[in-house]
Amino acid sequence: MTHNQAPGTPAAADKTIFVVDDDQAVRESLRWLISSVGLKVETYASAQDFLDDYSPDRPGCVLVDVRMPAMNGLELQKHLAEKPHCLPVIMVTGHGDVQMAVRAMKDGAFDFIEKPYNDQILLDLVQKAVRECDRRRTEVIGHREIQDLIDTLTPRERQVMDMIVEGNTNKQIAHALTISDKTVEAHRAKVMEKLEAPSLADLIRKSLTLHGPNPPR
Amino acid sequence: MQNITRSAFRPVRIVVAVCTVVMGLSWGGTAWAATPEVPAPPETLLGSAQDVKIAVLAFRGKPSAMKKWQPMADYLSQRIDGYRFSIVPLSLDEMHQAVNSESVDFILTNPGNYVEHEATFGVTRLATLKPRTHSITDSLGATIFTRNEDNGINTIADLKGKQFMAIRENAFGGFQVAWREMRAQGLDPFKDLASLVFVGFPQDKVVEAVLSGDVDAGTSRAGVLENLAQNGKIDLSKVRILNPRNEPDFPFALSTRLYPEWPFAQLKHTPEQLSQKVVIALLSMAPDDPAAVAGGYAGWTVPLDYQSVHELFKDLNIGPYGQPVKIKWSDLVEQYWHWGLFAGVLMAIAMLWVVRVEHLVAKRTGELSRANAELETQISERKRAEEIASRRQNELAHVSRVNTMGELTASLAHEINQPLSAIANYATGSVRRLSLNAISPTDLRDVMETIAAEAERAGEVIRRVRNLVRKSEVSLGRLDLNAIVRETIDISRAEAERQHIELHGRLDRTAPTVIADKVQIEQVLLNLIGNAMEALHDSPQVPRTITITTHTTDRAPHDAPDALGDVVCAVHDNGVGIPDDTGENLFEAFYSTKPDGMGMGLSISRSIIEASGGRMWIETNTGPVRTSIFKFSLPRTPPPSSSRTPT
Repeated sequence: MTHNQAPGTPAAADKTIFVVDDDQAVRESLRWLISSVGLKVETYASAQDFLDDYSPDRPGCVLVDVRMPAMNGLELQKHLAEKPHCLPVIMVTGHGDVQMAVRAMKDGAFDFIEKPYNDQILLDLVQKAVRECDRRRTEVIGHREIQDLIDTLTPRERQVMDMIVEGNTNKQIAHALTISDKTVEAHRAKVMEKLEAPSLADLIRKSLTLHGPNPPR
Repeated sequence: MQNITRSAFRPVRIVVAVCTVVMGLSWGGTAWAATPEVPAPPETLLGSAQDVKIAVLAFRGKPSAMKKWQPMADYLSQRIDGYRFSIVPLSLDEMHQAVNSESVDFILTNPGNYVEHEATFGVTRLATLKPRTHSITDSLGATIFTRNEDNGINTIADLKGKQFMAIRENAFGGFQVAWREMRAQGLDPFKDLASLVFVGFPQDKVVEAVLSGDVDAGTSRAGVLENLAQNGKIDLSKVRILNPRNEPDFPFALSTRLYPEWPFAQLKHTPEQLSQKVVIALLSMAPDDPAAVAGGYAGWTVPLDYQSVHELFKDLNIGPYGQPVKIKWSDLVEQYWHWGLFAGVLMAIAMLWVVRVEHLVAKRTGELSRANAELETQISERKRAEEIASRRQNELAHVSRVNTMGELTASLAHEINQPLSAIANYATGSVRRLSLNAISPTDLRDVMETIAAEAERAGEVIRRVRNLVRKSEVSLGRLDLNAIVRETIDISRAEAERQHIELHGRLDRTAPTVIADKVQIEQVLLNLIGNAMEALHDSPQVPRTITITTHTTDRAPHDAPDALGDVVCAVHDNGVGIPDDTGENLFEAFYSTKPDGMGMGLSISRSIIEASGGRMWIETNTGPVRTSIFKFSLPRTPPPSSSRTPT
């Protein structure tokens, strides 16, 4: 057993681990174990309790028992998938409950862990899920920021940007839009400025982040 | 050949032509070819007389017949307006042909010939010849005679072994009449005579041959002898008449009965009107008419009864009553071609019908055998389906038991996992805190207490499950282990057959009863058999066998003085054995060597056996092939007798 996870690790500081289990002993013992590495833990006795209390703003991950009365882990996962969230879900399954595990993964679970589990493996998994949560949040925030920048473009500038990203030269753009090369250059400079792109490569990256390799025309 | 038969014949020719085309056969063709080919019917020759042909039997040669009968034809032509009568002299064969082909209108022939035609072709007599020499009606007879010397021939019977002569076999007055008398006397002229010579016309030849001694005796028509004598050719005293008969008013020597004279007859097709005219003319012919004089007769009388002639033929089995006349095949064809045609068509139809029936029968037989084959296929399919169904049922029974166990073990695992997980979480969480000095003794004590409580809870779960199992043990009782083994083998039989595994039982009939739950022991056995089947699954062994044995063991007396022996059941298979290092692990829960195994079968089985007071273990057979034997023992039922009764 290693103890390299010190409590209060910066990455984990503002994160909450949401433990959902109908068995009180299990969820309290999980709180005891997970909080020993400095993570904040909140426990819920049912999936519905968690959903009622949940706010998309709070980062972290969900640790849920697949077998529960009323709403089981898989159903909870489905409910979460319908909401704008970024919480990774770790499914806790019984021994040999391979079918449940496979279904959970297909439904988009971050990972699953079989009971009985090794505490280190569980904690590593939880840390991984928290980092995944960070990554997802950054991605979402990044997207939102880029979108805000793009929204400042005039329609003509937007047109020019799309054509640049498609790989057109200034001449081609001028021809296609029946404007002068100088005008294209002016638009181009404005686009770079507004998107805070120091280079063409950065401009393309920002555009692709939002729209993928095929931006809409 | 222009005559009145033409118009009457035409429809027949059309039919013939049609039938020729239909049949495509050539038989009888000669008969049709013989029919007249002149197309112009006589009716078109207005103003000129119609030809009427009278066929006359020319027994003395055609010129003679013409000379004798032509005056009669002239007489008729004279008397009947619009017709020209002519004589057609014919031999017996030609007469037959002419009547058959209806190429003549009337015939004049001897009584025998007439009767034949009457019977065969339906000719009708119109008048009978009236003889000039006498006035009795039946006037035709024969004389049988020999030389009037001492030759031992005095009766017809004496003719046996003698030489005999007549003119022709089919001559009526010249032979057949005499033949009847011979037969009446018990003499068959064709068998009993030394020789029978037919010399041919004229009849004089017979008389000459008898008198000259060429033959012993002969026959001729009555009157011939007298005629010859009258002409001075013979001396009647040199002739002896055999079987002489005396008929009043009959002027000639006679050996036979008398028959009517020659008839004049019409054919079927001859118009009735013409026949009437002919009859009137003939009957009114005067004895001194030139025609009568030329013919040597006295005229014509009403047609006589020819029954006596029929009787003669009947007696002799000839004529219409037998086959004395050599009938040529072509004549038969000629005579009966239409019947032949009809029969041919009928046969053809019958054959077609038979062929059709055969075809239908073959078809139906084919259909039936196909239907039968189909039915058999269906039956075998049904059987197979039933087999599959019963196998499925057995599989289901097996699976449901295993599933029940599986469900139980899965929920059992979950129930126990909960407290175990909690314990582990508390323990590991505490260790982490301790290593960081981040825990107070009070907190630690609280957690330890919780751990202890959870451990208790786990124990509680196990107790609860045991209680549950115990509750289901409704029927702990005396069991015949052999019966259970047999029943289990029966249940597994279908599945074993499907996997080509032989399932045997080798049971100790003397094994005592045991105390256990029947269903539980069955489950144990099914589990062991199922494991054995899986072990055999990839086995190259042939045959693959599973053998279940039972036997009774004796416990050592010192073990316990009153101990009872166990009944041991063993499941052998000839598949690959279990490796040594696996051994006892097999009985641990969640331990499985199978890819989809629950790892609970043997564990539960052992629990069941142990709960019943028995043991379960593996033995390895290290022969040339390493095999594993799963065994379990169950304690025998204490004997009902009180062995511990104080003495």
